[in-house]
Amino acid sequence: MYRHKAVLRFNGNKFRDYVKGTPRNYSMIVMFTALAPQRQCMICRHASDEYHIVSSSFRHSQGYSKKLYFAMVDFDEGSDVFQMMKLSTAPIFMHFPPKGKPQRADTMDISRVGVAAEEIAKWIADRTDIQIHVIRPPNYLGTVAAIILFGLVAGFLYLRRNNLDFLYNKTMWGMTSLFFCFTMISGQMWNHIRGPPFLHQGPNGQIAYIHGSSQGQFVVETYIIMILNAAVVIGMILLTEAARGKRDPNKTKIMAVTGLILVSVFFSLLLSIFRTKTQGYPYRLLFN
Amino acid sequence: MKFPVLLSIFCIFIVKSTAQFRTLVLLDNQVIRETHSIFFRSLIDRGYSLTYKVADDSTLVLSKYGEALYDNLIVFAPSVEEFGGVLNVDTLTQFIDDGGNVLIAGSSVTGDVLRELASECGFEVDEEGAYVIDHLNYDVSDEGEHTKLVVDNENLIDSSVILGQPRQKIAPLIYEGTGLLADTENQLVLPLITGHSTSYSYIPGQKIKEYPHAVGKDTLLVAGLQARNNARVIFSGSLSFFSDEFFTASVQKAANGQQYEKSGNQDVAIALSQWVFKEHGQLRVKSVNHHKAGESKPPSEYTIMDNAVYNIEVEILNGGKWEPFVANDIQLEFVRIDPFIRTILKKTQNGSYEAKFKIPDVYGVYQFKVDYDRVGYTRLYSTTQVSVRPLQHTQYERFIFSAYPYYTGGFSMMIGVFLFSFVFLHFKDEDKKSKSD
Amino acid sequence: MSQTYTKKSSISKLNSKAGISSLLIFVILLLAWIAGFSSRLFAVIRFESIIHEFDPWFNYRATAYMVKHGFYNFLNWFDERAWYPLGRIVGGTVYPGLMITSGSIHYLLHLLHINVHIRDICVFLAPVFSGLTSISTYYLTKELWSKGAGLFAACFIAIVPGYISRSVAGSYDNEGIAIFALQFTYFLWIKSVKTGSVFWAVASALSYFYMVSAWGGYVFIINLIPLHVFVLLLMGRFSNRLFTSYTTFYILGLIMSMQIPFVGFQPIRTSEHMAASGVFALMFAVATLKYLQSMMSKSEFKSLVIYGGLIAAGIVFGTVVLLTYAGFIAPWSGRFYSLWDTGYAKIHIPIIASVSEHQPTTWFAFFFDLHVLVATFPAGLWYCIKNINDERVFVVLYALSAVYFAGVMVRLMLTLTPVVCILSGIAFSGLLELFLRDDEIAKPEESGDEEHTTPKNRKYDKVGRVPKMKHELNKEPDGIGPNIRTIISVVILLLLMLFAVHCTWVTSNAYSSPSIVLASYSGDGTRQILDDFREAYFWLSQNTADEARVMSWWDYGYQIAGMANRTTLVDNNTWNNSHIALVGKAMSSNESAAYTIMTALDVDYVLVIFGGVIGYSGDDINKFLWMVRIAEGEHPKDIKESNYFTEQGEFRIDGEGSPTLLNCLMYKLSYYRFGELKLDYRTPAGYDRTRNAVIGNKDFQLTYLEEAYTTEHWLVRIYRVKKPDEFNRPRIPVANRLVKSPNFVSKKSTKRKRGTLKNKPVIVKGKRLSSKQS
Repeated sequence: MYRHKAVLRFNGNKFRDYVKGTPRNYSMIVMFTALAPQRQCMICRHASDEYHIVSSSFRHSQGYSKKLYFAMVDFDEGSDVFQMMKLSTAPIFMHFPPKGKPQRADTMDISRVGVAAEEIAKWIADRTDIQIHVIRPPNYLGTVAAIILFGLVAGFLYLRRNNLDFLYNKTMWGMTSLFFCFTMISGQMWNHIRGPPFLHQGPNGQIAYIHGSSQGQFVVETYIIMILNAAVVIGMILLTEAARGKRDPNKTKIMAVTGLILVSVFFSLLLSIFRTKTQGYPYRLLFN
Repeated sequence: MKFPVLLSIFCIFIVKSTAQFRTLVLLDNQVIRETHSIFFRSLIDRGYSLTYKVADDSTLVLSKYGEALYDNLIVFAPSVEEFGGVLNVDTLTQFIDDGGNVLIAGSSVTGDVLRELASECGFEVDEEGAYVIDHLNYDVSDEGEHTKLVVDNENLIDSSVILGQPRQKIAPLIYEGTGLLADTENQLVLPLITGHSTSYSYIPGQKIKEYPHAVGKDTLLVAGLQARNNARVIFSGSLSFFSDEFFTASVQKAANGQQYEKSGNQDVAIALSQWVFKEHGQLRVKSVNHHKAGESKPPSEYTIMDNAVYNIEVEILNGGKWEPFVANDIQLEFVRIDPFIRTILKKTQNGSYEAKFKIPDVYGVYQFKVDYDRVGYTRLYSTTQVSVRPLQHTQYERFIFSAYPYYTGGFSMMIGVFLFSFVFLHFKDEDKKSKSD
Repeated sequence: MSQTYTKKSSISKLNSKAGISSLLIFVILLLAWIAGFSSRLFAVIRFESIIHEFDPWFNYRATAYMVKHGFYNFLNWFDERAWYPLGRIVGGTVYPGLMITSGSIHYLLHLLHINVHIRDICVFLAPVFSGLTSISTYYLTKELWSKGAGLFAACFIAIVPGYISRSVAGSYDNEGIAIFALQFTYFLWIKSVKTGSVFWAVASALSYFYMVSAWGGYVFIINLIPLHVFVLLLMGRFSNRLFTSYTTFYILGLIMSMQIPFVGFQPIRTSEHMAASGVFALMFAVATLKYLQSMMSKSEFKSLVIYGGLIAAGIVFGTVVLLTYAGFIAPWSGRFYSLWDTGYAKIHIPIIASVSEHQPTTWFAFFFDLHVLVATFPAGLWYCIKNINDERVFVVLYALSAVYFAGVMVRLMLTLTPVVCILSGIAFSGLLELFLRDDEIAKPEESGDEEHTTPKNRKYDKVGRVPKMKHELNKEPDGIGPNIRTIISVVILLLLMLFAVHCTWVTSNAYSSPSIVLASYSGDGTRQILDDFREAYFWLSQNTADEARVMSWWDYGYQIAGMANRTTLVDNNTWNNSHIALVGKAMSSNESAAYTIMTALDVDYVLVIFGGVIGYSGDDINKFLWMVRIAEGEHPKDIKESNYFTEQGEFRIDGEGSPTLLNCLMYKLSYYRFGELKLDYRTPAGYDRTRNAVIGNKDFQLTYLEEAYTTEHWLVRIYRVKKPDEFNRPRIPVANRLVKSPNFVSKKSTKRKRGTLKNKPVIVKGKRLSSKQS
């Protein structure tokens, strides 16, 4: 039975035989999960993938021995097992040592460390002293995507080889750089690293777009800031362009006034959002 | 009434006597002084000044105004429940921690304070009324309980420093008393006299209902402790071990005994008293010196890969005088967390040792450590801290041999450019001139 | 006649114009220097002239050593009082630029018999150099755009909080002089690219050498300049000027940068410097191709350039990859790699991840440090791109790379600040030039005399507007009437004034605390100074032996070495992770396991910071999880982070906390005797103000340590480690005894000192004693 699969599927009887039965000289790692679609357990699927990676890494590693076996019990196949172990959530990883009862630490604390394959391997090493080097199946997706992108860019350049002037278009470069700047100064890297929520819904139902303290931010908040910054910059550019003249006076006037309004209003907004996040900041421009 | 007068006489006597020999003797009663006279006589002959007091005397004091009045303490009062005067377990342990040596004798009715004191020193005295019983090794004069034992010399500790002579030469001993328990794993505890493998410690006459606390070789008859500050404590389970009667008795095992005229008690007791009061086996460091090879004074810091020389002189107290100590197993460690170098010190002259080695090429703060800890001798520990620094920037090779091609290249380039500049400056372009015409 | 007359008058007008403008520039730069200097003095005025923070203490100690022992001894200094017992080669692990600068200033002043103490020089060095930074920023921007923009940029950088945060008086750290070196190097580089003269290239190499000696951020320069050259080559802007300046700069800079012992052979061995070498090779390839182009026909050349170029680039790239793979070239070091792969540090190098300055940046931090500049510098960027030339490519690249790095790590906001000032200066200058003059005489770019630029932004001077010359000679109606112009100018000036007051407010409130002296303000405004740190260090220096070794967490190593002058085990240099992990393990284990480690390391004293009495949140219990993580990295079998959390995964110090946590050394040392302390009548005894809970393990005793000193507000606690000699005898505690002894009650009292004997023989007169006592 074991020759074919790295992870064994158990139902109630097999569970009782192989996991609970004594005497044993092997450790058993069991994943209790609910993979059926109607259970709608997203994390079970992810955890199951990671679990399979760990078990196949173990299978192909040098430390492979008969001391450790991997199994899984699905709720629909072995609900009596779930009742027997008094489990009500999924997924759960448990370690059954060869001798003695499983202790508290023999249940993996998923809420703290997550379900990544490396964490599972670390937990197994912790409980059984068997080190498993996790080998992920090589993910060719990234390489394929890079090759396709490279090919597209090369093809595009080749097709346009006679007319490469678009590369000299300063406006295009300017817009790209400005967009990049706006992204960075509105804190997108922080979002990328820390992964904050989109916005925050308070207990009474009111929605907070702006994070209350100066140490955090929401995704919506960063978009708002990006728009405000862009508006101020556009205002300044309009003002400068307006003053250069060489167009009909009405247009110039409109441009100048628009520029001025953009700069002052949106900068005041920026300042007022800043004020809400700082305690004791005494300055404001137009709004509170 | 008489006591203050006697006390003042003894004080004068104490002041006159030399250090190390002031001894306070605590007794159950004055009769013990008579019954153990040979032992006390031997002490007095060696120069000790003994002060005899009964253990519950209310004027007992060991130190006054922070200064110790006595160097040694003998407690031949096994039945004392509580000492008189200011003496109690705390002051006695303070006495030991300040360097005083103690010789205690118990018996089957050991009092509470002595049990506490023994526990403070790492031993435990067996229960009230217990004797060491050995049904195969008892003396002919035993009264039937098999508690008067004949102890062979194999059960003595194998150290001629403590016993004064190799143990094979010692006649068997007579012992009657209680047993001691100690953790023989502990390095500070010395099992001086153990019981036979057939002895055990229990209340004689009682039916044995539980496992005895001390059985076989784990039964200690006389136990010793050399504390970390080299204070020595001996606890004997029997007061009669030191009595005149046992000193002069003849020994014969009831089972199959060869008769010995005189027991070995006197030899062993005197040797033990010499050891415990630090007449034997006391070492000290006379001087330590370290320097680089070729110099004579210690440098402020060493450099890696230096040759270092370390000298130490050790002395031992012999008959009241310090003499050079000769041994061939003193080791030196050069330690930075872990020892990098460990060598045996070689004798140069009597009592002085030397080691020469090359300092490793790892820089750091090192210590020269000599830690000589042998059974019966005081612990010899000397540590000197030195710092080893990496090479200064002027101590690297000035010209690296494998870089000679690059030196050649560089210099030849310089010479070439110099010559070229001459050529370049004096070269006239013919074409330009013809063009301008 | 009239011609000469007009010529003369125009000449005199020119002279006066030039004279006025240079005077104006001089005065403005001087005022910018003064403003920058004064705005950094808050901490000195409020507290005293003292070195702040942690790192500067080491720099100060090193400078003091150098001043006392001379430069060569400083270069060879082997410090055995740090990282006991490993020692630290200071000369080879430090950037000496800062010490050399202060040392030279000290030497010069003493030569003139102005005897300033080295500590005062160190405290005030950064504010003085901020003035020099503004001047070099002025020159840099002048090369890029115009004098007016230069003045704006100089004034901005004098007071911008992003730069002030690392250069207040008392913050004696590398960044104080490094930003000056950075700007100066960039200025010289731009100048050399513009003129193509070897002189300027050599000057920029020398300035680069100064930068290498000053700060580890020189890697930024040595990657930005090659990137600039590379982009210029891609844009087809190759010229002989570029060739001369880059090759000279590269070679001289390479040789000189290797003279610093800390840098050593890194420029030819690590990936961070390979870009410069690669571009150097590429430069030669392109120059060869250009030369060949002048000698061959177009078609031949085209095929040659494509194939030749591709082959050359391929060879260079392949060589670098091969050498990296073979190990000759070290891959990107952890600190720089974590800028690219942001998740790397948390998993592999927890020490880097634990520093609060290495966290990513929120938009709030951008706005806080840069205010209006962050909203307007993209406009300057836009104009630089629109009017591109060789040097403006540089500033665009600088801006884009700096803005990325500043987004990744808060500490790198410092490198973003100069370029933001430059670009905002350009933006504001471009805007105001057009609105403050009514006559459309010439294009505002590249014009030499800016008579209508207005000085800005000092907190002393009200803005003194130069009266505009209202020439009503409008060539064409420009459509913006004078009213709108005035309004616009006023609004812009208002924005700039807001900027000035914001900078002052931020400097005063956020960046002017010395962090070695804490101050708290009570309800009526009186200030209470908490000087516990210095109290503890002074106690250490007075009451412990000179060779005593103090174990504490690495944050305080420099301060202990600097102020208490004692040997420490680990300090802020964090060069040896295993040693730090040993200390972390000692702090996280129980008392007996910790004692084994402490005796192996010969520790005499242990110092912990405890903030539970005053509510200080930077204490060791809050840092404790990092100690556990770092220890777990080296000793995974002994220390497991999960043991210190409750079963629900919380970190609690009260009765629900995990037993491992409640018995570890750090917990015991922090809370020893705290269970008896009642802070006020409302809260129970043992209430920790920082964690807002009553502690779980209250009345315990310490076996292997004893309390040596606790400061007034319990902030610093010092314990002495007992030596093995103090455990003189192998005492058997009552719990471990096999033989149970009956409890005896003492019958002695103060009056009656007689002892008790069990079988005391009673002498009855007249009767003979029957039996002998044995």
